[in-house]
Amino acid sequence: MLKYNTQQEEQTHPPAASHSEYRPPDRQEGIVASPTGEKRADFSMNTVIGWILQGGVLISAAVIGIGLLLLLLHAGQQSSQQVFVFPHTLRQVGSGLLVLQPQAFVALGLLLLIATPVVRVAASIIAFALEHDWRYVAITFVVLAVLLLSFLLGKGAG
Amino acid sequence: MHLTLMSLLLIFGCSLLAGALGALVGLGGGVLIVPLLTLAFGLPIQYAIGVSIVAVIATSSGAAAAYVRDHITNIRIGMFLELGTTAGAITGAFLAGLLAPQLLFVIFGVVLVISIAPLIFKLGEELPAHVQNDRWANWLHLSGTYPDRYLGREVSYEVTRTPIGLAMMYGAGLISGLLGIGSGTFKVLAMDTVMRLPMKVSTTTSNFMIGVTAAASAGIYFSRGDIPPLIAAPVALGILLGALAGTRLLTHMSNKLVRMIFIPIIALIAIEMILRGFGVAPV
Repeated sequence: MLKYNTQQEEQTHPPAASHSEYRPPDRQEGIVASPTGEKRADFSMNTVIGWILQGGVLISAAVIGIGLLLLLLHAGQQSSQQVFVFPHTLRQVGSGLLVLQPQAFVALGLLLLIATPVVRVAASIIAFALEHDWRYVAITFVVLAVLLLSFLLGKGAG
Repeated sequence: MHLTLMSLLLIFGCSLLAGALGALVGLGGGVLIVPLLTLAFGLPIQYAIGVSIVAVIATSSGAAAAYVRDHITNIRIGMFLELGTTAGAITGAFLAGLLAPQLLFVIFGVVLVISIAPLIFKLGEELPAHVQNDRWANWLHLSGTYPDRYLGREVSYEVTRTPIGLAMMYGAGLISGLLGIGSGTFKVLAMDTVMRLPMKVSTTTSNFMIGVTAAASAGIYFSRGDIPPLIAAPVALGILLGALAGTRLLTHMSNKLVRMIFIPIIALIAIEMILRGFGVAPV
């Protein structure tokens, strides 16, 4: 396991490239040569988290978009009062989806958006485990536990 | 409230701006969304806050996706400090109701005003100098590097006063649990002023974290029926697009410029909080 960013390496700066020429190092391969030539294994971490955030955002935006599209098709039937009448439980959202209710699609998109950061934390545990970084596996596990606890408490109180 | 296509487009447009700003300075954009919805559209405050929670998550995930890929966000610092924010948020939820929110709004508004001073003091500073890892930062491998397109090089940095930073994050979580507001300002301040990270690392790591803090309470708001989908939809889509644009801008900006944009926004938030504390404005 490569441990990067030790004190000594931190002190050495890469030679400053001219302003226009600089391009961030290509991280596509996942292994990046640090200024000292040491290789850096951060493929799993940033790639996994980046993909989850990107995917969550794209999927929820698409579902919200479908809801708005349905709304346009239904335009005219939507009276102004209905702005505040909407599904807000999983069961209501589910049954609304079956009858192609625009608000139910938007609500599902919003739920996916809300779930994205939680999924990100959960996946970080796996990503840190892939890096054999047990310290951070423990830290992230505690964060996820507290997060889930707050969901449970919120349900009980709300 | 009557919702026309025109007003939907207007909300979308303002959300674009809020998303771009939020992505730059590491905040959720609620500071713009809540007054817009309450003052301009007459939306009851309870719904405005529900929608702004969605706005925070949209800003966070939308921006962080790009920042994580560009290696500007420090994931380790973010994950470690989330220990503080989530613990604080859950404490805040327990204490809510025991403490008078009016007074808290005023107190935290004043704290924000005071915290502007060190920011102004640091206006000329592009990168923090003479920062050395403390014991915690070494043990947790918190120091890192990020590619800075403005400076044209990979910038390495170290992290100091980690325990104080963690304590401030606990405070930030406490505030969001107690008052139902995002607390990106306190997160950026803790990382920039206390832990001495480069400004861009502070704002992007704050961006990374605010989604988790907000998600903890978003589920409650949703099930209470405080998030009207028809209003949240244009906000969420606008914010996501705006945040994407913001991330493109940030890489080409100097840390000084980011700090200069941050200062008036933090002043605005402080004023909003104090006004809310005195019950002057429904924002």
